[in-house]
Amino acid sequence: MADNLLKTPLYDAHVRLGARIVPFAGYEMPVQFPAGIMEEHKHTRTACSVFDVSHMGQVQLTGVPSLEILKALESFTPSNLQELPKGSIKYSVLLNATGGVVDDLMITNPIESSDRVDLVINASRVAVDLEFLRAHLPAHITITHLQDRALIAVQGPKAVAAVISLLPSPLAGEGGAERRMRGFLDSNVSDPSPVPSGHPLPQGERGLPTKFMTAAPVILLNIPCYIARSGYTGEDGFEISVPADKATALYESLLTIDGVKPAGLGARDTLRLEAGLCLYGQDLDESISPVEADIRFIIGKRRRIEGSFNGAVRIVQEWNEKPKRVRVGLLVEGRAPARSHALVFMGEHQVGEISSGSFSPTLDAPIAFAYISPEYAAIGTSLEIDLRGRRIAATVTALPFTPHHYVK
Amino acid sequence: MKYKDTHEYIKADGTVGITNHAQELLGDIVFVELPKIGRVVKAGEAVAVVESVKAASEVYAPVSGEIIAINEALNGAPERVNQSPESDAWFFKLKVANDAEVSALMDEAAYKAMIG
Repeated sequence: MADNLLKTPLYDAHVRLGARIVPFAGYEMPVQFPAGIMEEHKHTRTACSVFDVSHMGQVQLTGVPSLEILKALESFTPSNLQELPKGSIKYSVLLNATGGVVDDLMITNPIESSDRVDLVINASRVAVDLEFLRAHLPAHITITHLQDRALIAVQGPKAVAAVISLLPSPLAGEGGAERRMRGFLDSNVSDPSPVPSGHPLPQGERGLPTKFMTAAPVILLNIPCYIARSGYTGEDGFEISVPADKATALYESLLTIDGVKPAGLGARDTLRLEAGLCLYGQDLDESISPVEADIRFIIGKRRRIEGSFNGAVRIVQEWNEKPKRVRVGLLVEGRAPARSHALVFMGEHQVGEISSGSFSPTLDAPIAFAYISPEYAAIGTSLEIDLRGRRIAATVTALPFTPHHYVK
Repeated sequence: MKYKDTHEYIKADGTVGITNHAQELLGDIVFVELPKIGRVVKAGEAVAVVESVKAASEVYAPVSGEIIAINEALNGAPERVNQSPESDAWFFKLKVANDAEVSALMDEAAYKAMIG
């Protein structure tokens, strides 16, 4: 292994667990544990997996009120950020001048602070993003890359129970734990009322965020953590930012919980593919717009009307007319996975190219994302993929391939 | 059994497959593409493909010869390569053209030393 690779704070724990370590985005990361990708994937869908995502960049923007920071971010993102309620997270993209994606990221308006905005950016883009932010944000906004924190994703239907078990014990006289637990779970399905902008979200069991894409500071195992209810698997779960020197204690405690197992980057990739989620460097790059990537949901109506962001001319035009290409899901016939860069055909015409492809453990079939000319992108269209000189049939399929289980 | 540096083995009867170490590296195998019977191949030529969830890998002919049999059972059950790569989950059989090429391959001790 090249010696210039970085290690996350959980590296030694991965080695103890028997992980296979591979280089990824400049880090030595676990691609799989002894159970293997297939088993780790299925375990995440049915129980709970813990992933080390400490390689991702955690960035704080400070120096002026949060609203001012969100306004500044709007100049190079297409999302409604000024409206982002405190305690909420927005998935968005950084745009270059021509509307291409510099990175996709999570933007949090912190519930406990009025003069800070938090970002989580891709590991492979940290250097590029920091330079981009320095060049595009006003000088009085301070950019801090937090390098003393780890990030641990806890994902799957048993993630909530796992994280609750690490909360401090409830104080006596404040009501039984059972009632609290029921109250917390009830709050997941009730209270559909929209949260007024600028007001804190209601919080659940001892401060845990109750809805997908909300976040809060929470004490776990006596460790001050910052917990986002978010993830990259399509399942409910959390992403926990934890001080680096406490990360191994938290990680190993999570793994002692019944039904919780470690999973690596291999399962993370097949899970996100089934969930229809883009991977930067494969499904997103500086030439691809968010309309082409079919993440239109991140583009705010106000922003589209105002047209006041990098690349707005192209993005608004693509929104109203048609992009040159659009990302679609493909269900591939047979057993052979179609990988990125495989070409896609309609008869003799090349109509697109695979951006990501693998094998879906849930569907027991190969699945892929492809960028396709819009006239061939309708759901149900039969296409062909060139696989090592052979033509394999594939069908344009609605994303996600497997349903999301987010708590809205 | 003799070994090529790209993790194929060949047995005395010309049976070729991938080593247990190779299947461990690949992880969960989901697809195997086998050559046609009768194809004449040179040593080092890519003749089969094995796909795991993670990646596609080529399987090379360890020596020159003619493909005289393929293991059709792998088409319906590629995961058997994970379970028994060096016994019933072989890939193809070669009619070896030149025994000297077989002698020149690694023996078990040399292969084990290579994979560490």
